[in-house]
Order: sequence, then C-alpha cells, then structure tokens
Amino acid sequence: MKGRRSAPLLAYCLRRLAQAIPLVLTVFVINFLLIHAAPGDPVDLLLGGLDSDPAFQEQVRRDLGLDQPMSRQLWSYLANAARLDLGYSFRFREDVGTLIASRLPASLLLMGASFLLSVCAGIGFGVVAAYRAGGAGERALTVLTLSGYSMPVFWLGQLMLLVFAVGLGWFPIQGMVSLRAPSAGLDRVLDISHHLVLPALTYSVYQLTLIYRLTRVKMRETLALDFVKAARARGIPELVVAFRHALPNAMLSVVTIMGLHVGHMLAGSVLTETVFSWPGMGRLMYEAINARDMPLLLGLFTCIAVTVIVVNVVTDVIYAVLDPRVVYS
Amino acid sequence: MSRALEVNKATYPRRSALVLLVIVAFAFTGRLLSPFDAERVGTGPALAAPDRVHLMGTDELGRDLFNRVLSGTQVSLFVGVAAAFAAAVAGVLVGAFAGFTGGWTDDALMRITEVFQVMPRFFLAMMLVAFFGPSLVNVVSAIALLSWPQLARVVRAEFLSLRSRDYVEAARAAGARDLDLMFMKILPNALGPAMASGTLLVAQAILIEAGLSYLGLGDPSRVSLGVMLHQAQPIMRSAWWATAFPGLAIFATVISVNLVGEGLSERWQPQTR
Repeated sequence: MKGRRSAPLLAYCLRRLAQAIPLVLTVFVINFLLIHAAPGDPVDLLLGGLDSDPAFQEQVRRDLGLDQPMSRQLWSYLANAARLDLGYSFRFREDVGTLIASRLPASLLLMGASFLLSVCAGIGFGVVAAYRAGGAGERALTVLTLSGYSMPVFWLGQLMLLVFAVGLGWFPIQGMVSLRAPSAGLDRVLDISHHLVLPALTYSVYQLTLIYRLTRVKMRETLALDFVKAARARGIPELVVAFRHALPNAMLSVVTIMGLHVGHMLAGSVLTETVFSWPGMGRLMYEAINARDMPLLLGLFTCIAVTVIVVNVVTDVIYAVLDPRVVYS
Repeated sequence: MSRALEVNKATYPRRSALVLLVIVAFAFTGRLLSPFDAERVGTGPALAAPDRVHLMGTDELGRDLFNRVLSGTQVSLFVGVAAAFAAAVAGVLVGAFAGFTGGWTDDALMRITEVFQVMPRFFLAMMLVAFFGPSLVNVVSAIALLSWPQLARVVRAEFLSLRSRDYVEAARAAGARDLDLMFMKILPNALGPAMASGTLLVAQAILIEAGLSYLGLGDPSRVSLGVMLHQAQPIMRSAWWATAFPGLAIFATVISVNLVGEGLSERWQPQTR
C-alpha cells in the first residue's frame, strides 16, 4: 500500500517543484526590472546616494557589469543569483548574504515562538468554539478575532508597549538582550525570553486569528460528518473524538490556507520587529529602507519571495501526504 | 442556524455601514469642532494632553493631533478607495474576458494571475514604492497593481457559471454581440460578489498603506496615520495620545470596512458560511 503511494507522490513533489522554478525566475526578473526601470542611474541607486567620486562610480559600474548590454546584464544577474550571490551592500560594507544570515536567528526565534503560540491557542479556541456554537463566549471570540485582523500589527505592538512596558514596567521597551547588564548562560536565556514576550504576543495575534477562524469553521463541518457520529456511537470519549478523529480532518484545509498566508505573516514580522527593535531580518529591512540601501533591499526581497514560493510548494506536498484522497495531477 | 445568528447577519452589515458613514463624514467635517491646521507647528504647547482645545492633544512640535488624525484618515480612505477601485476595474476586465472566452485566453490570463497571487503583496508594494519614490500616486498604483488578481478570480468564477445560463443563451440566440453579453447581461449578475471582495480590498489597501508609511515609505507631503504612529514612538513615554488616536482611526476605519465587506460576502456567497 505504502509503496504504491510513494512513487506517484515523489513524482508529484518533483512536478510541483518544477512549477515553482518559473516563479523564482520571475522574482529575479522583477528585481532586475526594478533596478533598471526606476528613475535615475542604477549606479546611484545601488550606491544609495553615497557621495562617491566619479572614478569609484565607474569602477562599480564596470564591476557590476552595468555598462554591458541589457540582455547580457540580465543573464549575469541570473547567473549570480544561481550562485546564491545576493550582491554587496555599500552602506554596511558587507555581503548582503552575510548580513541577512547574521539576522536570521533572531527572526526565526521570534517567528518560531509566536507560531507555536498561535497554533496551540488558535486550534484550542477553535475546537472549543466549534462545540459552543452560538454561545456568548463564541461571540466574544469572534469579535476579538475580527479586531485581530483589522488592526495594524505595529499599532498593536505599540499598545502592548504602552501598557506592559511603559505603564506597568513588566517588560523591556526594545531589543533582544539588555545592554546594561550583559549576561551569560541561563541568565541570558531568561533575559532573551523576557524580551521575547511582547513581540511574540503581538506577532501571534494575526496568525492566531486566522487559525482560530479556520479551525472553528472546519471543525464544525467535520463534527457533523457520519464518521464522527459513528465514533461517538462506538462509545469513544468525546475528547478523543474531537482530537484524534475530527481535528486531523479539519486541519487539512487549515494547513493549505495557512500556506497561502505566509507572505502576509512575513509582512507582519517586519512590522513587529520594527516596533520592538528586534534585531532580525525585518528590522534589517527597515534599516535598508531608511538608508536607501537598494542592494540589501533587493536581497531581502529575494529571500522573502523565494521563501513564500517554497512554502507554497511545501504546503501542497504536506496536503498531498496527509490526504490520501488527493489525485496527483 | 439559530435565530440569533440570522439577526446578526441582517443587522451587523447595516450597522457597520452606518458606522463607516459616520467615520467618513467625520473625517471631512470634524474640522468644524477644532479648526487648527494639520501641518502647522506650534498651534499649542508641545506634548499637551487632550483637552477641550486640542481634542487629541499635541505632538512634540505642538501640532494639533486631532486635525492630523482627520487629514490622515482622509488620506487613508482615499488610498483605500482609489486602490480598490483601480484593482476592481482591472480585475473585472481580466476576470470577465477569462471567464467568458475560456480556452487558451482563460489559461494564459489565469497563469498570469497566479504569478501575481504568489508574490508577497506587501513586499512587492514596498519595493515598487522604494524604487519609484513614495508619492501618493505610486502608493495607490503599487497596491492596485498587486490587488487585482483576487477580484479577477472571483469575477471569472461568476462568469464561468453564468455564461451558459438559459437567459444568456436566449440573448445570444436573439443576436446579442459578445460584448453586450459580457457587460450588459452577465456582468450585472456578477457584480454582487465583486463588490463584496472589492470592499475587503479597501480594508487591505488601508492597512498596506499604513504599514508602508510606518516603515518610512509614506508620501512625505501628506499627513499619514502610519507616519504619525512612527513619529509617536520616541515620545511614547510622555504622550500616549500620540500613539492611541492615529491607530484607533485606522482600526475603526478598517474594522467597519471589513464588517461591511463580510456582510456583503455573506449575502452574495451563502455557500461559504
């Protein structure tokens, strides 16, 4: 049984990956068009208005091949991208790839923590709401979640700061570690966790909202199906029916739709990191915008766009693995 | 479903449409309550708390926050409506042609739509504005350029299901031309769902504009709620009002637009609930 399924599954994965290639190419073409269609000289743009002598500008122009014909430039741009060379930031005097890599751990920590939080809370609330349809609790949750996605995430972060950092003084205002009392070992872990609470809460609200809404709707649909009734009739405890029988079925579509929202989630992380001065990729993007550091901005955009494309492929594959009914076509 | 829910469905959209109308009216007439110039520095003491003169207090330059919030809300509403309208026109055209003609035109248009849909919207808008300059026109165009695919898909789906209905066949048999069929016969019946998702686009556009201007990509010649929130952050310790009110304006606008949109989509797509 398993062997019969895995061969078409592998083919499906490969085909899905192949479909993603033109999308990734599109990202690089967009970057290229941005550099060349934007008003102004590409060299000025890439140097970010740094005052530099004409000789240096000429050298940059030659080094980057900007004096060559367009088709040639596009080709060498794509070739660089294929070597994972994201370019050079003249502002930071550093390789764009290195810069991004140095900020990646902080971002992953923030995203991981809030994803965990929103998955647990979103699914939990969703299941409860599916059982208590029409109750006051459900209505309150619905209003809360609607607020959750009508609110600019950075304002939510600022409100958190106002109340919990400025007002009550429970949490630090910004950053990831306290600079006044550098710590090591377990103290450092506690210090980072202390800084992590507010950004992680802020960032998880949108995802939590999304997961909650989807889980509630899908759970309610699933609970009305025959196999759930059959499970209950066999005398299986309701908790087991909910979490072992109904929930996995409801989660199928939740996974797919979550995959479609990954771009939005990454946007949320940029804004959250900016509010809390969290030293991750999002904060780097904010710095790049305000320094007019175009090579860095392009590199970050490339990473984000490729991540979104890859996540889309991965969610499709997960869906195919989870749902035996999927026809691989 | 229970009766309580039916009541909600009927009254929520209407009530929220009313709230939205009040917000719009207030954004344009609120000046009468407190006629300070939104741009002028030193209309009062710096960092003054809200009182009867400065209804929402002042910022660190003594600018009147009440009037700044009103102007910012006007800009937000303009960006939201203009971007959604432009996206709607493009989306309806693409969706109508794809759904009506079918075949390879449909395939080609839908492939392009998919490419646009996969690209992360907020970031692409950010890149366009960063490279082409943060004027209001560029912000609106960038958002519109990235928002039409959603609508195109909705309209296409409607056209696909409507194009072979009997009344369309009858009109065709009576000699109606394709363009007549598309825009006079089918489109009016597809407008409901299109309006519903167009309304949700307004809310998304307002949020995108706020995010962009918070990050430093707002039109510097306009008062923008996102920029105000950005400027409020360093003075957060001494002036909570500079953070509270601009954000509240965005939130109130977006949530009422969203509620109207949800009401419309429940009305036009009963199968989704």
